[in-house]
Formats: sequence, C-alpha cells, structure tokens
Amino acid sequence: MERIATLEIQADLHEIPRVNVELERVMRACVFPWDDILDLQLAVEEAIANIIVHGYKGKAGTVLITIHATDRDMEVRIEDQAPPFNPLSRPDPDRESGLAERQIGGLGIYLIQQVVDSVQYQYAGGKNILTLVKKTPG
Amino acid sequence: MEITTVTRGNGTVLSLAGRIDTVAAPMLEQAINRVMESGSRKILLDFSGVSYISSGGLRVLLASAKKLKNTGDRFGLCCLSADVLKVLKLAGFTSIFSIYPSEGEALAGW
Repeated sequence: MERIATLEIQADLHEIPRVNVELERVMRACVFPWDDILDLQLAVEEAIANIIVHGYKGKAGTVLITIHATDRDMEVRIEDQAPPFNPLSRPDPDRESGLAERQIGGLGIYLIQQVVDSVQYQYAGGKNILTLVKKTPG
Repeated sequence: MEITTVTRGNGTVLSLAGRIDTVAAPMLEQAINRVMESGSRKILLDFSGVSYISSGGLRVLLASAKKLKNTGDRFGLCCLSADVLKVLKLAGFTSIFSIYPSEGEALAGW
C-alpha cells in the first residue's frame, strides 16, 4: 500500500485547516488511530504556522506539502522558499517556571518534536525542507 | 470553533466546541477579553467539546491566565479530553493552570 498526496497553499494561516482535512483523509484511508491523526495534524500545523509567521513574515509565498503514506509510516514533507531557517536550532522553551515568569510563545517546534517519531531539516535548492515522520502503530 | 458564554454564580463559563487551532485561537482570545471587559474576573473554560488544541490556543490560555492573576480573580479549565490534556502536559501547562474534572467542581470553590 502506498498513497501520495500533494497540496500547495498560500502563506496564509487560514489555509492550514484544509491541509489538516487532507491529512486526516489520507491517514484514515491508511487506518491510523485517531490519536496519531491528531498528533500529525498538530505537528504539521505548527510547522506551517512557523513558516508563515517567522519565515515569510506576512509576505506572499507558497508552502508545498507532500504526504507519503506506506505500510510502515506516514511522511509529510513541507517545503517553503522563505529565507533559510532551521527551526530545530531553537532552544527548548521554558516549561518549568511559574505563571508570572512563563514566556508566551516558542512552544510550536517543541510540540512537533514531541508528537512525531522523527523530524529533519535541510536547506536545498533554495528551499527550507522539513520532513516529519509518524510511524504506523505496532 | 463555537463559544457559548453563560454566567453561573460568581463566574462566567465559556463552553468551547471544535478545534482551537491557529485560526480559531484569536476568536477565543476576543471572547475571553470581552468577558473581562464586562467586569467578570472569574472565568472557566469548559473544554467538553474540544478534541484539538495547538500552540496558538496555548498562547491564548497563558496570556489570559497572566491577565487574571489578581486577588479574587479565577481562571480555570475543565472537562479536558485526553488528547487536549496530553498537549497541555507536553507544554508544561498542567503545573500553572487550575484544571478541574467538571464545571461543578470548579465553580464550587469560587
């Protein structure tokens, strides 16, 4: 079994829900549990929001999402042409301090790393390429 | 996302339904701000109808909790699904928020 879906969106946060709809469609077809669908939707949303807000910074641009499902795993490749930026280079956010000291923001990339099995970044051909992998349960 | 606002006793309950994603989060923030502007400083968010929250929603929760920190203020979350609770735990939020199993148990102490 192998399924591939490709989606190109504009650098607009309102485009994210339709990416998650497509992700759910493909993952349901591959019989992924609901928890895993939510995990991957969270990771993909955080990655794309990060590109739109911190990469394109309000400027026009596109994000290409390629979903590749096999018997073993679900791989989502996210490509953009914003300036080079490795999101994995950011330090982990503060998750320990009290309410008054806790900083707002910085959680997105950390959440991605927690809910997928692997996340890789590369810059090639003028593109930031983030690859997320969620393994098939069992 | 749908938000229903109801006054109960000393507090205001916002019942949330749907996904609190990057797009919906500003709507939640506006709803909470409206309640605070109306003078209510005890706000409970009922997550019964929520199965998904992303960092956009977490940001709103943290910002709201920081605004409601004076003596007599209350800001609580109740009826969290396992999926939402998981994200809050990953974010390290369970140690800084008042989380209740039910609306009744939250409001009883207010």
